[in-house]
Amino acid sequence: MLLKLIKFAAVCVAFIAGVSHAAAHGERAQEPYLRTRTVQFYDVHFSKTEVKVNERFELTGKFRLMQDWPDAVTPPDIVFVSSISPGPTIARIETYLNGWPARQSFARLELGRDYEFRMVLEGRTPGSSHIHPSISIKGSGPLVGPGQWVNISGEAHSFAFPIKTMTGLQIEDLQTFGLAHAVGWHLAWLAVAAAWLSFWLARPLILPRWLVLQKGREDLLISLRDTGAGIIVSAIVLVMVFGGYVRASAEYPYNVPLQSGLNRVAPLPASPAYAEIKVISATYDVPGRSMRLATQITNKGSEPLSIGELTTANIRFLNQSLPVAMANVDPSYPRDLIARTGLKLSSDTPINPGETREVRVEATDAVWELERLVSFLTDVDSKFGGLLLLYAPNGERVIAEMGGPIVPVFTELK
Amino acid sequence: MEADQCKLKVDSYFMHFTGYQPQSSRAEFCEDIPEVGRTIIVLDFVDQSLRDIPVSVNLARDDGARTGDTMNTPSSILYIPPKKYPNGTIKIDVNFEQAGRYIGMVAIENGERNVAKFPFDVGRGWSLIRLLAWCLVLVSAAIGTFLWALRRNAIAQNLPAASEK
Repeated sequence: MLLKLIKFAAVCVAFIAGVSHAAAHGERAQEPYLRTRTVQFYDVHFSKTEVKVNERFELTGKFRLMQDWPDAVTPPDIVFVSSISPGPTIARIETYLNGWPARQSFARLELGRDYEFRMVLEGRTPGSSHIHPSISIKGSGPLVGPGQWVNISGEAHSFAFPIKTMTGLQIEDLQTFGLAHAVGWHLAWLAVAAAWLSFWLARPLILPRWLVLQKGREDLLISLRDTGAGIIVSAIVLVMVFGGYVRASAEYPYNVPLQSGLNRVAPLPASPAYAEIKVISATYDVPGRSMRLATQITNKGSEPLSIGELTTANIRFLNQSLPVAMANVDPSYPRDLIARTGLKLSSDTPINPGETREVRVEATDAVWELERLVSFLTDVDSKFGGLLLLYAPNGERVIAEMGGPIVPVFTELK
Repeated sequence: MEADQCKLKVDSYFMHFTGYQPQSSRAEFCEDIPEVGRTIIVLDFVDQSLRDIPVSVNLARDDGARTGDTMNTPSSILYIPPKKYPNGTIKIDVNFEQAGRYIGMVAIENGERNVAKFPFDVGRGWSLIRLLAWCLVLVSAAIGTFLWALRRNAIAQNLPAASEK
């Protein structure tokens, strides 16, 4: 028996020891069409990447809900703005969408429009955590923005989450508030359940009762003592339920129920549609890790426009010969999501107002494979999407959606 | 990439290995190459810093002779001298004319020379199409045998009835 117990303990220890720490949370496992054709994050900024336990930092940015939303994905009718981390390594203190508090979900966000978020976060568990902004859509799940490693230093036990309630009650640490109540109630209910089970387990069980039933003597199955025990336990349960309710109501007379209503927020003002982009053809050179697009760009504005960046699924391909595009890269943006060699263009001169020009765009980098964005070629709906960022000489930025069907190739097209 | 089975480690850096045989299949291969012929092997750098380090590649027939980390040996079928890959990807276009055991060697020159080897077989594997074809043949044979036996049984049962008439 002792040997068996030792073996069991050894198996348990081996199992626990073999469980490795999850450093990421499966963002690369999401289907590419979800990441390239739904939500495009941009201007994402982490105010700090080194924080202490209980130190606050901000995660800000914007996102565009793509007009060419995939049919297979539920539209953003109910949306919750949040952050994603590997476990509770951070505490989310405040969230805003277009300046509105985002404690609840938002209803009916508009496709083709932009929204701005701001989150105040706080370091909780020491270690290096991969933190993402995320947009959770009912029916579709979370769609994550670019993830950045945030190093949290200090001691886990020193974390505290003090709040003051609307009634003026000062809670020193929300994470342990009411813990004794919760444990106490669990133990009380476990005691009642154990007593009830023990009462019946001490009596003849299934087979003797079945035999009694076969003989037509149901009257023997439930004795007067059984009925009495049932009444007593029912009374105890009722007293516990109503007594607990009365006590809780007396102790906390004012409480707010869980909020299930939806907020509505207007999108950011639409940027003028200065640039219109038509994708004539799109190919992905599978072994070359290169997306090649033949585009037709029309400048409908009054200023010349230069192509500065192609961004999709949080990956950024920059026109490195355009200083304003390079200046738009936030120092806190994850470096592994910025393609090293940038964007290659067949024509780098500004597109004049009223001009329509065919421009070949090439985005080559191993990041396509490393971010697992290539499997969209095997999707039933092989389309891609992204944002093209263009800049006027005065630095004004024009964000234009682009997308369309894409064909995988194994040879270099000239 | 954390649980990547096609990962190759050179010194402390990781690369991701993918093989393609576009003329016979659209599948990706992780280790062994199922057919002889034109093959594209792609090595993607998982670590960004590897893009700043010269990398050389050698593919050779594994003739059993252990020549240490020697690159560009007589048994080499392809050698790419050291160079940097800012795109983070090495595309190797090679034609395997013979089936057999091969060995790939990737060397990085980051102050000191580090070599990673990855042995693989060519032309000895079961391609998915071939596997499916054999499965189809076996299932067809089984169904055919079953139908033949059924028909034979039915004829045998009908014979006495016919003779009684």
